[in-house]
Formats: sequence, C-alpha cells, structure tokens
Amino acid sequence: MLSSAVAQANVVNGQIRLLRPASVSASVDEAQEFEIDMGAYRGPVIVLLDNADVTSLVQRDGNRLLYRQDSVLSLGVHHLQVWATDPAGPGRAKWELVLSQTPTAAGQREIYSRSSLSLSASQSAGDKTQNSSLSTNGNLALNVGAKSEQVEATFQGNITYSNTATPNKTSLSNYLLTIKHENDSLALGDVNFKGTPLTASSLARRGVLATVNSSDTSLQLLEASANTVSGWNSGLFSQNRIYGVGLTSTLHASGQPIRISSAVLSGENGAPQSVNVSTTETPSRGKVAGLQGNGRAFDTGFTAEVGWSNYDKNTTDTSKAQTDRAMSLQFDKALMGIAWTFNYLFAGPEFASIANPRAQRDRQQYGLGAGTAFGVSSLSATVSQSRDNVDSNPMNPVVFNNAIGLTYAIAPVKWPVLSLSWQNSKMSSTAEPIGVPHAGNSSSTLSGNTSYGQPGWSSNLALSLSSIDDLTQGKSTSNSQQISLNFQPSKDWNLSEALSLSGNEHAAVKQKNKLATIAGDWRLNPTHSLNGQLSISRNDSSDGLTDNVQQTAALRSAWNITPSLPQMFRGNQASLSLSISHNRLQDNILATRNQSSNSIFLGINVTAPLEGRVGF
Amino acid sequence: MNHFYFACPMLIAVAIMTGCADMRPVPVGSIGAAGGGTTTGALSITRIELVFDNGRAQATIPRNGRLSAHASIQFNGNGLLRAAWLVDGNPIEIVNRNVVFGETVILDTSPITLMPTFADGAHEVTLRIDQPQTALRMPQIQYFVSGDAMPVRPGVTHE
Repeated sequence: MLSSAVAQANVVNGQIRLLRPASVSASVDEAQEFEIDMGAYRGPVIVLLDNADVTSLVQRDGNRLLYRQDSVLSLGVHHLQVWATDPAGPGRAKWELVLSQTPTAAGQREIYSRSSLSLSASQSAGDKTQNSSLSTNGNLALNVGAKSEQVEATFQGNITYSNTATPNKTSLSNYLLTIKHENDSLALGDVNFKGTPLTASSLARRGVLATVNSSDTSLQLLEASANTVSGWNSGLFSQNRIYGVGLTSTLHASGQPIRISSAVLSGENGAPQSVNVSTTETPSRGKVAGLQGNGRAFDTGFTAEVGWSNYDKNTTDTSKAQTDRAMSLQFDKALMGIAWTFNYLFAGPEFASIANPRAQRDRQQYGLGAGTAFGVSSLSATVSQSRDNVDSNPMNPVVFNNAIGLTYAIAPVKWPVLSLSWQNSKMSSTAEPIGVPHAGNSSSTLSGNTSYGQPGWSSNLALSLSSIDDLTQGKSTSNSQQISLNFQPSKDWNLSEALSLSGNEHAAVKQKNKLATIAGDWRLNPTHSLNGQLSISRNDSSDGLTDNVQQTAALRSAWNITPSLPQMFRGNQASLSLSISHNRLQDNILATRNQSSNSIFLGINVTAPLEGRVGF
Repeated sequence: MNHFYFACPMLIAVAIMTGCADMRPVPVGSIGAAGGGTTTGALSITRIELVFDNGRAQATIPRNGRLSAHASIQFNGNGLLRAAWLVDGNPIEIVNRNVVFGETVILDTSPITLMPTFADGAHEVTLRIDQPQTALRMPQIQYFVSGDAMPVRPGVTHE
C-alpha cells in the first residue's frame, strides 16, 4: 500500500501534482504506474525515480506525464522527483513513496527483508600520485521489518564501506527505526519534523519523532539533535537537543478547508559547528512558537502566522535571553483577469528560532505582485520594500531596500520557450549613528532563458547580466552564460554536455571562468557498455593571481559477467570493468601547484537483492 | 487562464543556474530565508551550511544517479560573492552572485550540473568561497555511490 503524509492521492507539490498512485490502499502491483499533472509547466522535464533518470521512458500527453515501471518496484521507500523547466522558471516536485506488500491477510504475521547489497573492488595501476592499493567499496541498503495486521516495525539505513574514505571507512547513514500502529508511528533515527515557517518549516535532524494521526488532526512530538549531524553521537545522546511539539488540524468552514498548524520548539545548541556547518555563532539556547492558519475565504487565499521566541544567543556570557515576536501575512486573489498577491512580514530585532539558524529577524517587508497571461505568453511584476532596524535602534542605521521585478515568458506550441526577466533594487541607509557613513547601492539584473526539446534531445540556454553600484565599494558587474545539450538517439546511447562561461569585474580586476563537462554512455550490446566523463575548467584573472586549467576524464568499459559466476543470491548481478582516468592541473602562475596523474582500474562489481519474507 | 508567477520565478531560475542578485521580495512562506545582521558594509560570511536533497550531510546514491547539493550562506554587508562547487577537489560549477540586501543566500547546484556519480565509493562535496575571503572552515558533505546499476542514464528530456 502507498502511505505517508506526502504520498496521498492528488498530492499538490507546487503546481505539480501526483495523480497516480491515487489510493493509499494501492498494492505494490498497482503502484507501478505514475501519473503526474504538470499544471502550467510546459517546458522540458526531468523525471527521477530513486535518483535514476527515467525521463526517456516517460510519455507526455499535454500537461500529463505517464511513467510505467518495467519491473516491479521493490518494497520500501522510493523517491519520485520532477524537475520542470518552464519559461517562467523552474519547478520541482518531490514525493516520498512508501510501498508495502498487499495488506497482510487476517491473522498473518511476517518478517521481511527488502534490502540490497552492492560490493565493488578495483585495483589501480598508474602514477605514484595515485593510491595503488586495492580500492574496495560496499553498500548494504537495509530495509527489514516485521508486521502483523496493525503493527509494523521497520529498520532502514545504509551501511557503507570505502577503504578510501576519510575519516571513517564505515558509516551508517540515513537510518530510521519505525514502529507503526495503524496511523500512528514512533521513529528513531533521521527524522523530519514539520513545524511552521516562523519556527522551522522542515527540520531534518537525528532523534526521536512520535506521530499521532486522526482523521483531521496530526500531532508530532520531537526530541532531536540541535545541529546537523552525521554520526551516532547525537539525538538522544547529545547535549545539543531540541524538543518540539507540532499540531495540525483541518477545519471545514462553509465547505472550505482551513488548516491550523502550530509548533513549539525548545532546546540548546551547545556546539553550533558540525561536519557540514561552519559558523562564527556561539552556543545558544531558546524557545520558539508559531501558530499558522491557511485556507480560502471569499475567493481569497490567505496564509497568516504569528510567532514568539525567547532566545539567548550566547550561553557562554552574562547576556540574558531576549523575547520577541514575528508575524507574516499573505493574500492572493484573482481580480479583473489579474492574479494579485500581497505579502507582509514583521520580525522583531530579537526574534530567533533555536531550530532554524536562518530565521528572519529585525525586518519589515511589504510585497505586491500581479500577473496575467495572454494566450501562450505571460507577464508578471513585483514590487517590494524592506526595512531593517525595525525598532530604530540608535546604535544601527535604518536601512531600506526597494525592489521591482518584471518577467515576460512565451511558450508557443512546438517552438522554443523563452523568458526574460529584469530586476532592479535600491538600498539606502538613514539615521546613521555618529561615525557610521551613509550606505547605499543600486543593482540591476537582466536574465533570459530559452529551452527546446524533441523526442531524443533537448537543450537549454541561460544568460544573466548583473551589476551593483555601491557607494563605498564601487561598481561591480557579473555575467553568466550556460548552455546544455542532451541527446538520446536510442535507449542504448546517451550524451549530455554542459558549458558555462562566467565572469565578473570589480575594482578594475576581471575574473573569467569557463567550465565544460560532457558525459555519456553507450550500451554496445546486452553485456557490454561504455561510459565516459570529461570535465575541463579554466580560471583567469586580470590581476595575474589566477591562471589555471584543470582537466578530469574517465572512461569505463563494463562487461556483464553474471552468467559466468555462480548465483550467490537470487537475482544477483555481476560486472567486470576496466577504467582509465586522467587528472591534470596546470597552473600558469605557480608551477609547483601543477598536478597530473593517470590510472587504470580493473574492477568487479556485484549487486544482489536481499529480499524475502517469512510468514508465521 | 491566468498564470501568476509571484516572486519572479525566472529570476530564481537564472539565479539557480547562473547566480545573480538575490532580490526576491518578501519570502513569506519560506521565511527561514534570512537572519538579521548588518545589511551595510563589505560582504562577510558568518555561517555556511551544506546539505544534500535529503537535508542531511550524507547521501547514498546509485551509480549514474542524480544528486544536488545546497548551501545556505549567512552574511553581513553586501557585494560580490564568488564561489565554486567542488567534488573531490574538482570544480563542477562556478557561482557569481551580487548580494545586495538581506543576510542569507541559498546556492543550489544547477539542475544541469553533472554531479559525478561515475565512480563507486565515497565522494566529498564542498563549496570553495573565492570572494569574500573568509576564515571559516569550509564544511564538507559526503555522498556514497553504490554499485547498483541504473536502468537509464541521466540526461535527455522529452517533450
């Protein structure tokens, strides 16, 4: 059956909706076909299933995408992604699908495994700069569980081993132990907590999450590590903890659903630095709460939230926690053929979220947007004003920023889609404290994007020109051009190229960067394939400090040797590969930075599903 | 039929792909997009966080699968931000962006950037900040390419 909060029928994910699987009671067999409504997105798309690009297998009928999986999807968690390159901008939708077996028959209990194992080993030979020892890698994707009629316990995770990895050769990642009872669950591991925008709209941390669902209400209880984590030493066993409660309820007023969400989070982050975070911040402690409502009334959509926080941004000094509040409003309405949106945000100078280091504070913003369409083209405009230092603290200047934006897009049938955008903003300070100079800048950005595709190929071109003129730092400009081409003349041959050119000029110094990449593969016959990648980058600056070229290339030939090996596991696959790699860095400023290496790898790879179930 | 595109998705599109001024007005609905600080003066970076699509610092992906990385950079001041996404020390994408107002900029690897998922094993992703200069240690995140074969290669889009 298909379940989880994000994988329901008619899931709305931006303008892109998943239409099928449509029923939460669908069996695995019924869930092998995906239908997606692309809404207003008309440009080329990319569809990824479990990070595999299945776009070439997708049929498109108008704004509907249809994908049929040739083989039966394995049980467990699957991820479906859609990338849309509409002229008015890219869209992206993502769903997490949890596929389970046809509901267990009454009275039946079972233990199951939906795991898989992959092992690879390669021996390299080449320059002394390369590690010439045997390179071994392994990945055990665990998905095991036991279930009865109403209770199910599952454990998912990845155990990876790489003898070339640092600092840990073996790691356990993305693990989650879940115990479900009907619609309720208790999860331990890498959990996701859904708060509110002012508190933490999505909090991916390691910890414990309990979820209780009724027909219109969902309750979440969280205990998690405060910082982003990558190891075992976190969550329950860490001093950097966050505790959270989230409650979402749907009301029905005059036939219109109104959703009320609230979240309260409290905790301490004793070590704001972690493996993937680097900061000058200090250890902190705080509480934050948010109450949000959204729905439609009188043909007007609305989203409103109020937030409150109490935050001590430095627990190592004598400063005390500060209390502050925030508020946001958004309305949208169609009027006279034009879609209007109004936004307002206020965040007090001391507002902060212990669960979201990026929470807005000390700002007031207004925004107004309008957009309409004429046949195959559309036009939209936005204006906004922001103010920092909302309480006019005399120790800081008051800073205003005014911005305006225009976007025009056209998407004629069977012609390339095109969009043009212009943005302008002006920032200025007032009420500067004594000794603080007046600050200000103005900036403009002009950008364009066009894309076109036919069965078997697609292309995209993006251009951007941006400038900023700052009172104290002078003028700087930057530009960027990026073109990509993809070819797939047949299902056995694929080629992808991307070329980007970018540059900037500031203080009479010009920087130029060029980067070209190409990747492709060719399945010569059912047992032999060729894969290759090539990347070249060049960096240059007019001040003579940078001038280098970097090249990386790899070519691999792989043979399916499954029939020649004994079947260790049912369904296992084995391949033998021969790879050639080349790396070269040529620095034209300092020759001692030059590097070069060439290697040949002979490898073997074995993958095997570890699936099965035992009823009792 | 009216199509309404508030917050200028085209700008976001090009910003994602090329880098440009971050001027999205009133990001209500994604309010976690900024944190207070000094909005004037020379650009300086105060915090960098790197994650993959799953919101975490680790990901496992089949060979030839697609993957993207995201950097959340908090800063004071304004000016030109130059950076490069690196995988195992090799540049895969160059970023130039004029930062004019606000305190947080989000850098996503472009949808057309080819994150190497060619070789099995562990790979490290980081963001090299070329401008402004910063003393912050650059965080690294790691993805693991498993040997599972992909049914279809990344690439072509079809109408």
